[in-house]
Amino acid sequence: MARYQCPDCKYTYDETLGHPHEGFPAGTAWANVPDEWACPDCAVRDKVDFELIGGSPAATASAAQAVEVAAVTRSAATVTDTAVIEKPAGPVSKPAVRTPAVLRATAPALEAVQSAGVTIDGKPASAGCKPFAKWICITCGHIYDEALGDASDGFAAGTRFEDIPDDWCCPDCGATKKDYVLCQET
Amino acid sequence: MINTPEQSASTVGYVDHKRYLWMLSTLWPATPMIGLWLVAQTGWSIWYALVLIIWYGMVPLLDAMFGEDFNNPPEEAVEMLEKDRYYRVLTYLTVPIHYAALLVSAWWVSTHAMSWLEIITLALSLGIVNGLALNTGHELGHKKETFDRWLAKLVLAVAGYGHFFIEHNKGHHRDVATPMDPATSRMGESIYQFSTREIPGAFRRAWALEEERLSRRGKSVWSLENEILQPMLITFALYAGLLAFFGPLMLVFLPIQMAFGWWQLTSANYIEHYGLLREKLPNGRYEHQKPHHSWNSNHIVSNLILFHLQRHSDHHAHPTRSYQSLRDFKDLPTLPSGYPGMFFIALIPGWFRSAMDSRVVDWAHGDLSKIQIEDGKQAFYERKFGTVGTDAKPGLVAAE
Repeated sequence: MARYQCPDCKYTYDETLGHPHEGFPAGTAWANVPDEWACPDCAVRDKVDFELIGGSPAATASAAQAVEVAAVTRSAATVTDTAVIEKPAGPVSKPAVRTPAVLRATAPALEAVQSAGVTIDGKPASAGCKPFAKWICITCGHIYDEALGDASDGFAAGTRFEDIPDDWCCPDCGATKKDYVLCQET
Repeated sequence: MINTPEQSASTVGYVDHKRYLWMLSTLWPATPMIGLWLVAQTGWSIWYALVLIIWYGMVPLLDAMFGEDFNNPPEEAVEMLEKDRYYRVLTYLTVPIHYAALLVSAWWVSTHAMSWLEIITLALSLGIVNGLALNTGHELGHKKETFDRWLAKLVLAVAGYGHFFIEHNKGHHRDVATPMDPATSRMGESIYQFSTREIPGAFRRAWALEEERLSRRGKSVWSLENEILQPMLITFALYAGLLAFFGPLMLVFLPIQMAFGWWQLTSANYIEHYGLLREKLPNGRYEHQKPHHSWNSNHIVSNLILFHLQRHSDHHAHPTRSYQSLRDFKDLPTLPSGYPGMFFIALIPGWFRSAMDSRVVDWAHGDLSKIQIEDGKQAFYERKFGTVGTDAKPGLVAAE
């Protein structure tokens, strides 16, 4: 049983509980929720934008399909603005058709990072000698790349995201520093 | 948890200066009753129009005088603001005031000798307040708790617009700023044309959404679990009761005040996303809702009587944020006045277009293909603004 979360408002769909009010009884697999179903709390994001945040998906996709999904995931080498793609994409009902569409970048700013498979999971990069990370604004898709810094805002190349003042705002849309999540290179 | 500002300040060093001013949003729906009291005191029938005068006249003037408020709560304070029950209680208290305004006005009309002009004026005043009932229902309907959602249905029932609860949250928020949305107006469309598309379109979309949800549950759309029928039944009971108590005059009075309440919502929908369009992505989906897909207004006076509704950009990007935490962003598409002023000029289509069309074109950096334009007006706008476009992203100014 897995849990999926809306990347905007953090509403969580738990397969164990379902969402009876919406017509998904307890135990309804995520795969059986229609793709066009929008987040019941914010309606800003649809099912395909949700992130897997825990548990293992109720089996509907076979192991072979899961491998196929993972393969497609890597070759697509693009990302959704916030979806986690490092994990096998879970119960995708029509993997071959659905996945590439899901993985296409949705924010123009993301085109800049299409060259590599990138995932976003909100967790800090591995400890030790930390590689430079990229951070993405969940509101507009602007990317802060630690390697490049942001000269116009006075952050030299190599400025770590944690060293940026907390009151700094997204230069594109004005969202706050807290609206950024980590883009982690795979 | 209800904090005093001092307690809150000690936690994160932030004092919400608008904290007690939000009471204006709660008290303002009581204005028709104040008007009636003034009529009783002075005998002057001008006071029947008190709400109309304040809404369309005084508030736009005060907006111009007091201007805009760009303050945002710091992100560290937002959790505390969201948890503070005080702000929620204000929205709860607004609900009985809406019922009182309707009941007192209906009682007054049936017990006082009034000319037709006076009756219509009072009905229109009450209609404005019904628009505010929709605003209160809007704030409550976005909350996740069952109690808040029931209060939303209760207050929407006053204006006979219970389907808003489904239509707005699941329909308008999903489709906003796309051609699929009957509640997004097109550039060049007058409010009168828009209303013929918006009012029936919104009801149809709400009904379809509810039918779909109930069919997943194996229930008929005519079941009592239909969340459109629930508030509709409250409206029927309420209005039937008023008719029984206050007599046949209600057959004239109630429809006028209800229709003008709906008109306030139509006005809001008309100005909130005028001409704006989300970009279609290669995969056929629209980019998700961002702050620059809604017209914003930071005008302080009208925001204080509307539970911050005019900070609409943040609301659409993050619909579950409460009114007290809504933020302003840099480079948003901005209305020249608060909602009351904009509602008024929307009544005169030429005036509205002269105030807004160039703003829409600026938002799209001159690229008309990034704007929703009314059918048949394309050639007119091409002659007026040219077809030169840039590759710049609409609504966003490059950081350089």
